[in-house]
Amino acid sequence: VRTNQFIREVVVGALLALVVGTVFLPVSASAGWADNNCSFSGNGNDVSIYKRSQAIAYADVAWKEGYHWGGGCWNDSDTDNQAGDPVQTESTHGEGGDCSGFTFKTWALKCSDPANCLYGENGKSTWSAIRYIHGPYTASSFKNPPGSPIADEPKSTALQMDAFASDTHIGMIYTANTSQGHDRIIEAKCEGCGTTKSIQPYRGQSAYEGAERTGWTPECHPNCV
Amino acid sequence: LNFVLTKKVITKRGVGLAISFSLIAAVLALSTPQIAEGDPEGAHIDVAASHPLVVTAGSGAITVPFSVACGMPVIEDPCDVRTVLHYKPAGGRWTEAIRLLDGLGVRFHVPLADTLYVDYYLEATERTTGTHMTFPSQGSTAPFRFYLLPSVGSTQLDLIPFGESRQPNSTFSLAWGPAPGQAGLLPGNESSTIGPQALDVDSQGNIYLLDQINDRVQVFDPNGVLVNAIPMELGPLGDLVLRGDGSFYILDFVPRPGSHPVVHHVTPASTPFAPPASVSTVETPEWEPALLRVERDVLWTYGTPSDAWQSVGGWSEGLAAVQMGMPSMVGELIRRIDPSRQVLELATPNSPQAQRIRVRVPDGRLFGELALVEPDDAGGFWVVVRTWQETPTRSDHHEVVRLSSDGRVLEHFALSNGEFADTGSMSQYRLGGDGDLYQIFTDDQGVQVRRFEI
Repeated sequence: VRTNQFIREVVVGALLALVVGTVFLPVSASAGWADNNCSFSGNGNDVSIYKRSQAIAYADVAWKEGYHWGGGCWNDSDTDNQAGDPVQTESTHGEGGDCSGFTFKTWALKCSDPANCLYGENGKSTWSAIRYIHGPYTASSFKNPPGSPIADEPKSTALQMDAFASDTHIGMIYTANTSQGHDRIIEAKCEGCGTTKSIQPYRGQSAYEGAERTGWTPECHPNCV
Repeated sequence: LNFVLTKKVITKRGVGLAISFSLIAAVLALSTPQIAEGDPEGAHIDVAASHPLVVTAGSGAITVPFSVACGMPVIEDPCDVRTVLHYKPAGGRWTEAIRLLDGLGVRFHVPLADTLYVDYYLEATERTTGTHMTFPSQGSTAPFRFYLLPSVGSTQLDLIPFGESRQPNSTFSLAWGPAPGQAGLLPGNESSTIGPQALDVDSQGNIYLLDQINDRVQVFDPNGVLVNAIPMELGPLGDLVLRGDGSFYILDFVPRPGSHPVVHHVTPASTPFAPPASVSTVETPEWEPALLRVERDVLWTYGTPSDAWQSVGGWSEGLAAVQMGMPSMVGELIRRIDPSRQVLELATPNSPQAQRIRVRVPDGRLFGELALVEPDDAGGFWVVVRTWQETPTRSDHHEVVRLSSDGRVLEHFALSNGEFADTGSMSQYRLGGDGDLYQIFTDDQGVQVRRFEI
């Protein structure tokens, strides 16, 4: 009899949980995509080795994913999982980074205290694509860098994974020098655009300055002569 | 429900178990993101070429570099990529050269035989996952090509001071906004500032403006009077080109899972300000198309990563699917900025009188992008190209150069850029069907469509 009663109580408990869940599920479902798919806590993974080729591979995961102003979390589904967010609003928690947040994560910039990221922390810290974090930098601060580990880079010598930044936008070089004089840029471009690779004339445009992440590990590592 | 609500079965332990189940489910839901990172099926490989395009005959050998990006399903795992370059001189046999990827790319040294051209394609294989790709995708069936041409001297451009620009012959203006006769703007704030992406002009001087932020194409007569607006649902990036029969093509650069961007062929309705009479949509052959071009009724796109021209639907029509030069009325027109950014090169290697022109930028300047190249009606070319400097102050403008068939500079003037908002990467300028040069000029007030008689 006790066994039957216990089973009955387990069944009832599960049914009550179902009823409670049914009542409260719409509340959580109405939150943004990131609320259900991203991590909002946790530090980056400090690393000593980070190459430009690793940054390119990292950025590639975000290609064709969404753009979200102030955001910083994406998966690898090749689509914006929450398209049509209101522009320049962070609170809807859509998919994707904005241009500066995407650069922060791709460059493996460090933020020891994610609740209060500081400018100019040295070191390398990789972030999971699904870690929702923007970092402390804006496009303008990449254009006028606060110091190490971000520095000005002459535009004529900028190469893969260096960046071109204006007061309002930043994109990183995916491939330098097409035959038509452009660079192939990877960038979190706009809400309706998503994160794109495309040819852009930023190198020659006066509105853009060159920026580099300092301290890349040489590509030849660990076999450098 | 009656059973559940029966007093006898709702015990304290039942309620406690319900709370426990709910808490466990909530913790699992919050702590386990539902979508995994990475591609479970293999590595991601992206290859891009820096095509030589034109090589001086008798050079002995040339280096062909490729950028190769590779990412593994687990991002920390290293890629192990083996690349094979297949190359073949005209009338010769395919030869293979093998390189292992070490870092950002691979470089191949290709010996130059006494030949008119060399075809080539690359295969890349990530050996851990078995991921394989061929670049271009058609391989030996439609490979890349570089041409061998005789050496020529370079023409030096005169220096035009920044700020010294030619004024347009006519202009009409559109304020930013959604109303008819206005143009849509997506303001930049940690994002690109995006305005109208492209224009094209028919033989009567009617201007078709791709106002994609407002989901429409607006048509203005030569005096700037709005005569038509064709509503369409469009992404924010693209290009527009007229077909010459009243219809037009729109490149719609919106990411789609597993699909390249698309081109819409739009036939306007006979009634102005009405939805199109018909729209047919096809996928482009490129991941990153940048420019549309209609030549002899065939639609072409230029884009990356191929850095070449590909016909849209070319296979079904039996056309050459990949071409290194721009299709034009004088045949394949090679256009190139040298990686040094100091030399601009044009060539028509397949025409009966093969041309090769080299132009050098003045000292202290560098070439930016080739914004426009079109044959003129006298065997020469119109070129619009950005020149820029970084020191002592950052400056740039576009220069218009008319070159004769033997490379002499016939006309040369500068235009101020007006790039408050981004246009399509290669669509800020068009040579209109009426023979005039048109420019999309933007500032914080709106758009100006500028016309230059050339």
